Amino acid sequence: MKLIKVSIIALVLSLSNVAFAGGDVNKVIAKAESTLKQASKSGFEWTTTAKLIDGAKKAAKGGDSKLAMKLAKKALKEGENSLIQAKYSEMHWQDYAPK
Amino acid sequence: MKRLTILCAALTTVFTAVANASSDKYDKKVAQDIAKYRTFFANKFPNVKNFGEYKDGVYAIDAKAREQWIEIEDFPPYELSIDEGKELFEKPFANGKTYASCFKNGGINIRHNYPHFDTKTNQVMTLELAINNCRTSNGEKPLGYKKGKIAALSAYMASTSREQKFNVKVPNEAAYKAYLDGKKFFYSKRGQLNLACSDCHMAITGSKLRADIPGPAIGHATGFPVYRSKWGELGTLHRRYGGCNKNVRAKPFKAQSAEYRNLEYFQTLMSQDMDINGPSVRK
Repeated sequence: MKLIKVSIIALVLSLSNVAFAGGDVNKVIAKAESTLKQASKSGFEWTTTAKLIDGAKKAAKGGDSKLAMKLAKKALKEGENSLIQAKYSEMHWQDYAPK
Repeated sequence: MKRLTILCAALTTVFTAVANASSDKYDKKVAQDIAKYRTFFANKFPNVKNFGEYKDGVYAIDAKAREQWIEIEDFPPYELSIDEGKELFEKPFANGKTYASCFKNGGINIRHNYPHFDTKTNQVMTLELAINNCRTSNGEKPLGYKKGKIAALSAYMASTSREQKFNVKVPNEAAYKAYLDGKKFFYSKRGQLNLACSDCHMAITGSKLRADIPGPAIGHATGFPVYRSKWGELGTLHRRYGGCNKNVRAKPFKAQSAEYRNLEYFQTLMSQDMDINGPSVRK
């Protein structure tokens, strides 16, 4: 009986852990998508970012939350870097024109 | 009535003078940029004695590649496309009209006037956009902007303007803004590789980037549409822009988007007074 109780508790804990990780991944994917949208609006979207988000979504759907998180974080970083690039270009493009 | 006529004539003269003064103002600003741009290339490639040579793209600065290019130009691979373009150009639309009805001088010997700034629609008008506008205004479907029929039509029209010089104007403030947008695009770093058009075609040109030497930016617009060995067919300038953006892993804009048309306007102004030699061959 004790063994069954322990098993049930372990199972519940492990399932809640998966659900929690999944929630985190979805949040990161949503943030990556929102950042990509901003990058696209600024005209500085990279060709690699949307593919990473697609990969993260596929991995999450397939239950590989570790890979999904890795790809989503990478996509988010790329989106953030695109926005930094847009801001940098806005401020510094004239530095590269012949004087 | 006579007084009214005199007043109208006087006002027209004043408005024309103001418009011309405004146009001169922007043309002068652009002329200063052109002078700096040319000085940059004069310092970078002192062996290129005549700016007209830049119409040949990378073959103006790469002697070995130039030899091969001259041999290819003996039997140019775009020749059939010019014939195809002529046939398309002369073929009547369903309403009986032809492309000639949409262009000055019947569309012959006009390539050097494109792109220009259309003061009615306040946008840069490229030759390819004008071709499709002609089609739609005559009840025909627009063509795709990167290759195929539009490239053939553009090639034929360019072939009738060979050795004519680019004569692009900046008629008003809106045109100058379009020019500045194109200039900003040209010098802005993009994509995962963080490279601007100017990085490859000004800073790096003359040196190898992977296996090839990127062509100098000056004269870029003169030879389009081009037959590229990599494509195995003719393609438009905006197809090339998209390819360049993809190469640096930046999401390309649509062909004939305002971004690419403004970039073409800037690049053509930088190639002001250079000969049209399109269509041509590139690697």
